[in-house]
Amino acid sequence: MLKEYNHVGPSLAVKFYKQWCLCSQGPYVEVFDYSKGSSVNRCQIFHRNKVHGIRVDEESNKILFYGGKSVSIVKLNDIFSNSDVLSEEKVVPQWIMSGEFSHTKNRIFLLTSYNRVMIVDPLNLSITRTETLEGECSILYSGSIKVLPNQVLICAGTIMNGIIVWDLNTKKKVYTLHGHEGAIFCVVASKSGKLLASCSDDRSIKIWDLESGNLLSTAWGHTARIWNLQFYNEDKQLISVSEDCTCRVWNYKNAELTMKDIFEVSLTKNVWSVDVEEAGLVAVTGGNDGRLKLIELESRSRHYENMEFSLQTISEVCEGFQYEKGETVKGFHWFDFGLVLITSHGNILQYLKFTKDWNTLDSDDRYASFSITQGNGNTVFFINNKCLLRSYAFDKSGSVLQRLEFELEDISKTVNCLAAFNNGFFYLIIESPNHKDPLVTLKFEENSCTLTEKYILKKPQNMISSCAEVFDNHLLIGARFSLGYVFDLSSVTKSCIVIKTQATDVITSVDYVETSKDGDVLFSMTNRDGTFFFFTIDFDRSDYRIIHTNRISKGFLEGSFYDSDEDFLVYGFKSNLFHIYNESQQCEIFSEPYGGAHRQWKLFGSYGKDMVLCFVMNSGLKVVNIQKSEYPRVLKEGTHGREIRDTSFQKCPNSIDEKKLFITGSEDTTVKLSTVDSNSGVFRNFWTLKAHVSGLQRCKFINDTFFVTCGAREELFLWELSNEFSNPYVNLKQKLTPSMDNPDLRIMDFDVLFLMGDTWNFIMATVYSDSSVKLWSYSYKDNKFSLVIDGKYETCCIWNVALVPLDNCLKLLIAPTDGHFIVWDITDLIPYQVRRGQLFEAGFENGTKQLPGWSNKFQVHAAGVKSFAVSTDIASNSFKVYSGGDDNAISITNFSSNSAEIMEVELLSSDLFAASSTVTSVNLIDSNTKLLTTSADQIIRIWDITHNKLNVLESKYTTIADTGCSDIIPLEDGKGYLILVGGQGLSYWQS
Amino acid sequence: MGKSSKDKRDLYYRKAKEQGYRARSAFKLLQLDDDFHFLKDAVRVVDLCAAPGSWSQVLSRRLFPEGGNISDRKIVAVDLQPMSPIDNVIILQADITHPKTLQTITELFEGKKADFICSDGAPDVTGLHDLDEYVQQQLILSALQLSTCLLRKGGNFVAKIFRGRDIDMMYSQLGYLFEKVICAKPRSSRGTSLESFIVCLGYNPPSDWEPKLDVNASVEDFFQGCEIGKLQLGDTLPAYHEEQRSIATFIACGGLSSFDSDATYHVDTLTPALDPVQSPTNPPYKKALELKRKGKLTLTT
Repeated sequence: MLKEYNHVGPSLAVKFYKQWCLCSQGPYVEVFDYSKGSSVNRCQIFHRNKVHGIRVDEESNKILFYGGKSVSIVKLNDIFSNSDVLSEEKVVPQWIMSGEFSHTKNRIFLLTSYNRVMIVDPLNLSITRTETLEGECSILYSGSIKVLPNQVLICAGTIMNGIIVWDLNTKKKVYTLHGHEGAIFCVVASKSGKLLASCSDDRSIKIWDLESGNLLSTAWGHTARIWNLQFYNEDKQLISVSEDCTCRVWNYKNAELTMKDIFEVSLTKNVWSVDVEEAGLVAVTGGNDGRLKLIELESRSRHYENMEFSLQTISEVCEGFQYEKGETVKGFHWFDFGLVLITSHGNILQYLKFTKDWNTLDSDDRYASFSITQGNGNTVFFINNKCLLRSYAFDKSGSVLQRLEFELEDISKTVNCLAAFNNGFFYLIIESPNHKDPLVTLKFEENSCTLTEKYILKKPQNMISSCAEVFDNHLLIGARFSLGYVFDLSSVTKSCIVIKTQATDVITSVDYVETSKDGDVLFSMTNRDGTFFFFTIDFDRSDYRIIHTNRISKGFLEGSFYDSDEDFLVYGFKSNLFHIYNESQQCEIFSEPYGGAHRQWKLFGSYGKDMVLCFVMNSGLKVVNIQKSEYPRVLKEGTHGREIRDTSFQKCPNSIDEKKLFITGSEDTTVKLSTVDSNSGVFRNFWTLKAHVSGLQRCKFINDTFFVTCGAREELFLWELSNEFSNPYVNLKQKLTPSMDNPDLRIMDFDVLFLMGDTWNFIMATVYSDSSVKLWSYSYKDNKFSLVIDGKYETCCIWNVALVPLDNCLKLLIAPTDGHFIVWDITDLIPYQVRRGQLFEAGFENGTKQLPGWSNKFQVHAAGVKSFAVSTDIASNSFKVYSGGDDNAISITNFSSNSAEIMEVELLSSDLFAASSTVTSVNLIDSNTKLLTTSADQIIRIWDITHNKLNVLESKYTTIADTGCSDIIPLEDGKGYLILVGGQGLSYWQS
Repeated sequence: MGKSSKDKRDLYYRKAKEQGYRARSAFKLLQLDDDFHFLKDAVRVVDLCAAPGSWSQVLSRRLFPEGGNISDRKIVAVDLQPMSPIDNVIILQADITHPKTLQTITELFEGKKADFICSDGAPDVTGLHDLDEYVQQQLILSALQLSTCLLRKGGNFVAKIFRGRDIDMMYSQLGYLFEKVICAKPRSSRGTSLESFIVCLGYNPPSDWEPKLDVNASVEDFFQGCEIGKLQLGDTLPAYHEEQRSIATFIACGGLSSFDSDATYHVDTLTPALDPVQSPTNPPYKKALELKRKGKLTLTT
């Protein structure tokens, strides 16, 4: 039996109720305890329709759901305990735009798409009345019902320009509100019933006076269509969500609507739903990507201790410090007790945060104009360009315990000073601008200024350091030109390892991440241009290996870390903001307006505990506390913001615990690497790979270690997976070189065949939108694709390809948009031998050969073949193709060969009415006795194919629209399958 | 995307411009007609949701070939949006659901019935698949409403559909009004798109049913008595039940020799790109675009 365990897709209704949040995804509503972020229950409300609206009435203990033509009135408690309330589903003849409980709660109003209101008794669901507004029955795009003590107002958003407000009791029009252009996407009254907010295709928000019908205010801000609006905080604020992926907060004051905040909440496209909890502190949004995001609107503690100081105001309260015009902050260090800073005039000042006092520690001309500040838990160091190093050690309250100063004689001048911590020690790495000078590393006891060792390292030519890390006895330096250097501190004369990256900017951070069970050491590295890397170092062999390359979507990258939830966080600058971004979940978690990346800034402490951002502004300093939100970031992780075009499980049985690794490739140009918990169905995303610049066509694991992704611009990438660390990592191993500069030339599909007993070297067939067919051989040792066969079928687009090895020959099978199967025998064209269905090294000469004329061409479908699966029978030298087409049909075709090049082809079976829409994916299951198919009619079917006949065994509806792909993997005990179905969302099934 | 890059990408777009069609969709009707020949003997035809007018252009060229005996032929194109004139086409800027529109067309046809009615209309999609599919089906039913009042017995109806989750309900409903209902996909319609065309041949309504347009009646009210929108409302809301569904025969149109709209063609890039036959209309979000250009609409504060 097919059973759905989890589904992530467009969330169209979200609703706070007490400490819970009710969120719809497809026909389900999931209940969350939102402050904990825990899921309480998932309840199926409708058979097929998506839930578009939720209304709670505490008084009568009832909850109203509507969506499409379905409506349900359910006991509130049932939603917390039942797995479904399907028996309560009722249907109405028209699409329901909105529903509300009446003022006295003994009626329910349902507004339908033709501006009709049905009045229903919630007890026995009898229809008491149906009301219309004479002459105004055109189809609506939106609508809402405002229930007031003595009046019910119907607010109808039409398809063109106008909003109609009518009175349900008098059945008279109250207003026709003109001013918008295009379809009205949302129209909603305020709590008091005095105001009306609306938005349309023109992308503006308008506020209307419901007492006069006058337009009060028009506000702009969203960069795309706005889908939902809601008043809160006694009509003083409005919240909006949009196609532009943002949620915005607006203030309404003195008849003017002004934007207050912008929150980026979803990926790529469309935020559909929004709600604000009673006190106005938290909002929840539901996106097209299925993400349920919590937003802290107001916080009792956020920005609580933020401070801004200017040197001028400090001088008014700080004894011994005279501010001079033009004096600026040159460096600073944050402690638990407060701050120590140095100015451009050599004034060293201390701030004690508990008493809010400023002290002057020193005023020293020698540290004027140039100084670098570094520090640890209780010591601050200042170094000037003459290599003079001054340190202050403090006690917990900020009193100076020790003041030291010495001159570093190993270098002639100082240009940079970096800091690193490791294993109870603190390191200062001091660089001279003189190339002949060494790189000096000072080792101190942690949290003190007791120098324990000094290392004089030979500085590589052209190295300009930018960041540092120490691990064991190794110093890692990140530098300009995106280079990394690894020095051995136990053997300072040993030459360093140079780490080369593809990037060309400057390395902004290097950090130790973890050591694997086998002793491999993992580091992360960020580059200012937005790329980041993970690499391992083999210190004995002086070698390194990059195991992950990726990039952030926009902005400058300054650093990264894993947080306590094992999410990978990156930080840096995006336009005018400093921000921290959760790369695992693809959402921003902190942002602060900032003057520009060139200003001096530093991040202290650790995230979730005591993180502080300090940066120089004007002639002063700003200190911002970075606190974790009081609420979970998300109630549910989302998936791609646009259609998922392909998905593939890692085909190895020993995946991490009960979690299966899989990839998804989307129209949004990214590939996600995620796991699914095979028991609960919970998805977890690790990486969103951004190497493709066009929408994905296919992505497939070709064995345990490699997967391949392809799309437009002739992009085809080979990725290598590393499983040895606590998180999976993937590296873009190789790309196919495009043959031309045509952005539309798509690689539609590929198939791979490994050499016998080999998991590293393979041949790969690729098919293109211009009818090209190519065959490549891949050598792991050389990390190189070589073109073996090149040619064209005709001019039509080819959707599918398979390499089919038979007893002693290799067949190439393609399926284009013309509904045919075309077969070539390519045995003599490849530099390998084929024996018993296996590929062997033959030592043949390489070189590109032309694709000859096909040996078979056979029409099976009336339109393009969307997907196929192939089963081969080596013994009888034949293979069968199970195919699904754009013509709604599924077919079984047999190809057999009697050693002749031309095969005998026979259509064994065909169901021309297999689905009511395009059959989009076909998978062989149960030792090729069954077929699992998906189709755009949103049905998953299992077919019995034992006697080469097609018999439907099971059909299940999926709420995933644009159902386009699926993959299966057998359960470890052989008793069933795990199934992923992708389209507009992703769902996980078991059979 | 600039016009020249679209030229490279889409051969039908290029061909449409070369042949003076206002949109590439002209080829969809041409390819449908090449297979079904519904325009061969058609005298009175109606193009619903006609703007910008590429289907009306096809109707005009097919019904009014040079030198034919064509004096009695009439083409009426209806749309809420204004349209530029097309030879031999009477353009009505009107609402297809309004009885007045029916009256005007009937007068233009001098009380005679139409042979062929088509609609290539589609609403602006929101991205909410279920809502978009519903609105599209309502649009087809609105076109069908008017068509049942206008079509002669045996007449034909063609409309754009999206083959989503409920298209089988539409096939089932239309089966009650026509002899034959076919799902046709011209080669000029992309295989990667859900778009297809419902071809309804041989109009044959139930003998006891009289279509009647009323401004206050819904589509369901209109089709009461002919098995469409069959949900009869009693005193209480009916429980959920599976609606009748059926699958229509699929036919690919245009022949394999015609261009494949999914393929990439390497056309000569030196040929200068032609201007579109008709410039795009003013979108409702014109002011928003202007503000965006001035940097007034942003994604961050």
